[in-house]
Amino acid sequence: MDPEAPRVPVTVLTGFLGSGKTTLLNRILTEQHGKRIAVIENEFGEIGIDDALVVDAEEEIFEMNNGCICCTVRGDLIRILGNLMKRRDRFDHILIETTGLADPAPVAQTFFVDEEIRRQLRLDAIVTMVDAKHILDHLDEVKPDGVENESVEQVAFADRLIVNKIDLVGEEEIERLEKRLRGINAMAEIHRAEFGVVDLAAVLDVGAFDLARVLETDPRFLEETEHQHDQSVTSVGIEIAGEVDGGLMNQWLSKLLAEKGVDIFRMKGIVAVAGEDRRFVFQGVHMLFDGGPDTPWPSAQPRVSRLVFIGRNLDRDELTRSFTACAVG
Amino acid sequence: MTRNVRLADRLELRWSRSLDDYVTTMTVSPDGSMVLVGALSGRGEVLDLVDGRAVRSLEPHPMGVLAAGWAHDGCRFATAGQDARVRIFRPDRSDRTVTVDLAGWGAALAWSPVDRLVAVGAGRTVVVIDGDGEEVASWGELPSTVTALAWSPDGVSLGAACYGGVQWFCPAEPGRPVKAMPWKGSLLTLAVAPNGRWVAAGCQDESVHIWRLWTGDDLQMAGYATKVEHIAWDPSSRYLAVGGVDDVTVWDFAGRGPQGSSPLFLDGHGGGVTALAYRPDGSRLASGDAGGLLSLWGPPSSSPTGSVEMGEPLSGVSWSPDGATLVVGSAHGTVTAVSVDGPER
Repeated sequence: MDPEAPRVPVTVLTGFLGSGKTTLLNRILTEQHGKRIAVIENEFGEIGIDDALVVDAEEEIFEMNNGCICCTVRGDLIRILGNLMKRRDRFDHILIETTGLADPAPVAQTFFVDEEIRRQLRLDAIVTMVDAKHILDHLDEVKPDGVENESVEQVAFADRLIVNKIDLVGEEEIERLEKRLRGINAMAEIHRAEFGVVDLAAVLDVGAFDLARVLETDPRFLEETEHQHDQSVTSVGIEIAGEVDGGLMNQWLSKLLAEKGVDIFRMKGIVAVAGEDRRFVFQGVHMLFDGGPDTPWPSAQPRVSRLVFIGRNLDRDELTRSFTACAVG
Repeated sequence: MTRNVRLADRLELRWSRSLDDYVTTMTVSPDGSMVLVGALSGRGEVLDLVDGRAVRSLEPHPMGVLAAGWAHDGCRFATAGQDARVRIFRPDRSDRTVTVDLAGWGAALAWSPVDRLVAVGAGRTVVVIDGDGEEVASWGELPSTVTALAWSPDGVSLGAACYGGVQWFCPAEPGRPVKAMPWKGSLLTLAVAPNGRWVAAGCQDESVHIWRLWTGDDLQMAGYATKVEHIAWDPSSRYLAVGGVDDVTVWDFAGRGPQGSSPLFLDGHGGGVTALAYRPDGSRLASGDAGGLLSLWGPPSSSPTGSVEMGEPLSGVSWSPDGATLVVGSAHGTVTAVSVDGPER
């Protein structure tokens, strides 16, 4: 275990059984021929997987005693990833295929919480496959009180949404579906696919959890004007011109995460802090937060802060108001 | 490449041998003549402790050997692996090996200290098998995958570490667990004090949890910089050594125990302590780290009595019963025997 060795990227592939996850997996394995790829599967796929070490795992969700009420991790992944990283034949990439019923939060949080995993691996992106023909039924499915709709969560957590099987539906239906997906998750890139055929550059080496690449986040989310008020999981984008007070912003974020961390699934932001030449960037999953100063603001560019939250029952007006209160002057 | 840094104890490289990949397990036989080693390459070997010659060369688990050990009488040894099997060997006969299928990776293995019984943890199950491969007892549906197993010193009960605490089983009373020591966290390793008074578990939440074995009263030592995967009791049961990132902490269990006390810090390691073992006479603690440093420490003192750079990230250590030899495993697959000539011997 060379401490200087680059961290191995891990792609998390979620989506309902039948959405085409295994097809995409097999395509990655075929097209990335020559790379050593390990696959961790939580359910037996529809079709077999060739040319890779495949490890079957049973989902084990552990609560962490770190004072964070929503912090759960995946014990099975900690164990198996630890085993894989001990091997001399280190892998170039690891793919984790979760079940259609899996909650993505513990998977993502595993990469924040376990030191050994943080040191050796990096979560590259959460890729969610949706079946163009059936996803709306899944999203609309009404669950008993207190039970999460897993497909809504998997869409909300995604960095990439692959709308698969578009050959089975019409253009109009796809557009309606995409609008619906964007209403839940304005941050993810949406890609269309037939038979799981999607440009792998859109799926691999995304760097979605890389702070340095928060800056590459497509700011399109702010242009979305259409908000659907009939759903509880939504995205909220905030943009304010000028600078914010660093101390006030820290207080605001701490309070927000303490009070609303359970409901905030993902967040990203680029902030112009008064008296700081560099852009402050952050990203987080629930209450787990990663942030710091990044590259300097280009002199020609206006200093503008942009934040995006994806979560449940987010109060857009209140978020905007409380963040704006951190502004200087 | 080895280099002696300090020479209070004379550490001398005797032999080394490659197993091709991460050495997961190394145990010297009870008579001190051989060492059983296993690696993620799938190789398992019994090596002569004097010269490192392979007495038995095996490929017991193609996907990787995860755990292995000797029966207390030395008349059997067992290996468990990623192929979901446990294999029981007789050192004197190669035609009498038995193989038993498991419910998952054979990740934990512990021989009874008094009987010829081996306990294996695989997935969420624990099975106890006798020296002929017959199942004596088994338990399923544990709260999570079993990460470690430890017998009480009298061999009556068997503790299994998993998420949610330690479950205790009696092979003589198959059925439900006889006792539970709950703790809301994920346990990674388990060690029972030789005097049977304490049980210690290293935890994912960067702490060590301790129970009094007979009352179940518990205490916690928190604040480690990483999850705790390496702990060791000294033979007198007075000291518990805990591996951290850059140091080893030693807790004193004399009197009323360590609650409220500060541990002794043994500094000098780097990259994570990956190996810990007390010499059978208690005169030395051996510790190794991912940076390749092997150190020896005297009875509670914070300066090492000897150390040597092994040149490869270490993965474990095992003492010979006479305390004259340390077998050291590495993450790159090397098994090395180091002779220890300390003044106390």
